Amino acid sequence: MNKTFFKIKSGHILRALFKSITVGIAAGLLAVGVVLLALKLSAIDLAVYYYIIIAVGTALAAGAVSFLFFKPNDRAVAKAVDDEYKLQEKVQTALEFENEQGAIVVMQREDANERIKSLPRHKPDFKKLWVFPLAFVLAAGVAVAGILTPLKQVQAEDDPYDRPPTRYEVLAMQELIENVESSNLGDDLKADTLVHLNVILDGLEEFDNVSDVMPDIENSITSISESFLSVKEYDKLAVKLLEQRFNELSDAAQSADGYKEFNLNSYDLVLSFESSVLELITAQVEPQVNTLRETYANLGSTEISAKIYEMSGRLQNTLSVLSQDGSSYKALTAFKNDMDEIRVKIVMGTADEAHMQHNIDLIFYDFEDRLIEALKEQSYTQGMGVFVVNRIKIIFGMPIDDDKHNDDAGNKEETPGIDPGDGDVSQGGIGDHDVVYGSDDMIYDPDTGKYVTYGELLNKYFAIVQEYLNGETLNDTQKEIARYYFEILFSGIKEAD
Amino acid sequence: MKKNKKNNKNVTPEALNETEENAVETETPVTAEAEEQPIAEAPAETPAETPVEEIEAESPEQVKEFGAAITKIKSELAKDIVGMEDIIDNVICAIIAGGNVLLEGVPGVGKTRLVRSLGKTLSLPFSRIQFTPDLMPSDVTGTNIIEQDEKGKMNMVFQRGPIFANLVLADEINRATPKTQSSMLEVMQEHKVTVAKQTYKLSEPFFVLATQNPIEQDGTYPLPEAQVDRFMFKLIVNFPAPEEIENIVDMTQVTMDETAEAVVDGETILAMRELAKTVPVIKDVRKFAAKLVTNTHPEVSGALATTKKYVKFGASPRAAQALITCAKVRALMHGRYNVSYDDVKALACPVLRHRIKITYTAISDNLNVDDIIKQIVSETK
Repeated sequence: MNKTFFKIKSGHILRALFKSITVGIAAGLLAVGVVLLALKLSAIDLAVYYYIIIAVGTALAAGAVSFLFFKPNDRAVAKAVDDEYKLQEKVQTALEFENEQGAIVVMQREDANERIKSLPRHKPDFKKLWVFPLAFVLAAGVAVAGILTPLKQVQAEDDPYDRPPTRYEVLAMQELIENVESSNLGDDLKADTLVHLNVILDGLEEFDNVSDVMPDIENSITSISESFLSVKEYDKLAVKLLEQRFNELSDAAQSADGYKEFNLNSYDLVLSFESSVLELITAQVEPQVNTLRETYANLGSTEISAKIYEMSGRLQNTLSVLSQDGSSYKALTAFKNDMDEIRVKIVMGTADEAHMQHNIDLIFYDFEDRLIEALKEQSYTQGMGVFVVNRIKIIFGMPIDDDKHNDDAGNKEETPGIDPGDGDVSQGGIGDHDVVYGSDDMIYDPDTGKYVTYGELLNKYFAIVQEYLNGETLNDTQKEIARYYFEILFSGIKEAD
Repeated sequence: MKKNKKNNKNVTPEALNETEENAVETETPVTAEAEEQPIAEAPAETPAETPVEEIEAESPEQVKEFGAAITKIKSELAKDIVGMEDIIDNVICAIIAGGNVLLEGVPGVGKTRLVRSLGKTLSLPFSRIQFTPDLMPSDVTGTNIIEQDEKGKMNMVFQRGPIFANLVLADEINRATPKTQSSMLEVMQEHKVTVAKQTYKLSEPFFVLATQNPIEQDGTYPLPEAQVDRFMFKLIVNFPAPEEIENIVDMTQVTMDETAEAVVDGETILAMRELAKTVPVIKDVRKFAAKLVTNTHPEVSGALATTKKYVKFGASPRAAQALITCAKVRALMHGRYNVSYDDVKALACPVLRHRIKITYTAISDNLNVDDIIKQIVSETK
């Protein structure tokens, strides 16, 4: 093909370049516009250079791909020239048969070349490319829209403690302090715990917002937990004995009674726990000690001496792994020393052979008493620790740790104030996993024997309480508690309703 | 001889006037080559070959002479034929391409005159066969007769039929029975005649120009598809315009005879044919022709909606061959050295109109085959 053809081809390549550049820039603008819009509406703010990278990268990639697409080959140019100048496929034929020989082919080629030469000077026709600038303008519009769109402001999550302290919280904390004061905790531990609890109470009275007190509350929980754990010297026996009771205590601390029966002394639960623990320990320890004691019955002094020697060795091994300041360590040490003393007397021949069995029985009885007392003290301390910490969390609506005791009890409930109750009972409401609102869930009305909506039943109960609130039967504290109670319940249904 | 006379009863009166024994009307004397054409004695498996003068490789001069020859032919034909430019162009195109032509038109529009003038212009042996219902195949192809030589010995001798010419006018071809029509099949396609296991090669160039009357259908036998397919073109000879009729009247007042003179001969035609074969056709145009033929088939996957609705069956691959072969000739006739889409599109109707069968839906929609072909052409990309 002659030079004219290649000039025409250059014009077509220029057109292709124009198209590709336009497409590339439009794609870059569109990409950055779409990304800007998407991120800004999602409240995500990226650094400017990210947008520049997106725009330039997209523009280069789209431009390169489109140029590959638009770049004309000789055949396409020949077809375009034939079509544009109505040359009846002369140029295409000349191109396709450019390597063929023969009179007609040669004449055809010459004819085509002559026709191409006689064509008017070919200038790239950009008029027909209006769609590309249009695409550019549209993409630029999207980009400008993306730039001008303001970054969506995300509202911070509502702070549940961004509110004034309730009277309930103050009263509950006061009650807890009283419970600790009247407890049988050791003096140091009790004093330490009371300091933390009083800091919380002082904070509630001092600050107008619970969120200001929350750091103290959280620090107190941590400190109290560590304090109680520091006396966790009880042995495996104590753990096995007390596991069940801890769970009972934890359940009791979380029970709805804790809210409803506010005037009822919650510490009663701890007291009943203490007595039940004592019974349990006694029931478990006494038979074992008696069994051990009976192994010394009806033995001669020589055999007793050998047994004490053997037992003393094992006890020494046990004591080596126990904390020396613990009660059980002391009980075991005293027991070992008493038994060793008898053995020395036997060896020295100064032992009271006539009352040998009696003296051994006394040593065992003392050991049993000391051991029970030690375990009781430890279990009580631990029980109080669980009670105080969980109580603080419940008072302030904090999730209770899914600790070992709760796991063992099968109690997965983390939201205070909602009695998980029977598994068949409807949780009711709508909402996500964290918040459950009342709705049209049906609930049994014991008065009518029918299922009614939760909201309807709540209104009915509140109407009853309203009479008491308006009357003189209840004192001010009780009225306030009742109002607060229903306030909580209504806050659970008002959004859905 | 008696049999020979009987065989001649279907030929034209003019031919009978010239010779009692020859049913073939010979307007132009049979050329020496044709006369000397050896009658093959070999069995059919080894057909006799007619030596065709070797055509020189095309040269620029030949290309120029091509156009000149076309101009001469057309100017000579214009002496005898009024109007009919498209018909003349297409007939010349088909003859150069080596195809047969079916002319359809009402009586008296100049079909026969055109063919006779063409015979004179091309300086080719011409014969005319008037097809009638009682025309027998042997009346067309010829037959073996008993002939007594000088020594009194009786020999079987092949008496050639009127088909042994270069330009054959099969007048009112649809009036013959299918049996006789089928005798034309081998001749039209292979340019050979086989009689009693003997094959006779016809001299080149050989063309059949058949006519048929579209209005008198009583006593006619529609041409079988196989035979129709062997016609490269079907041309519709329309009734002339009033001014053309006036010119015809003026022209024939001087003489009824054709006044055209021979301007080219058979060799030239063959040379022109060979030259046309070298005209380049780009792949896209070839694909277009193939696609066009495919688009006449309603049964193929992706068939056009028009085809599905209006076409009963489509054209054969011969149509695509004819489109490209004739397009090459047409390109040269128009002074071009390459085939364009326009050539293929212009030839679509003459090539396809007799090869596709339209549905009753088309008829009820008042569409003729040309309308449908034009629609298919416009929809073929």
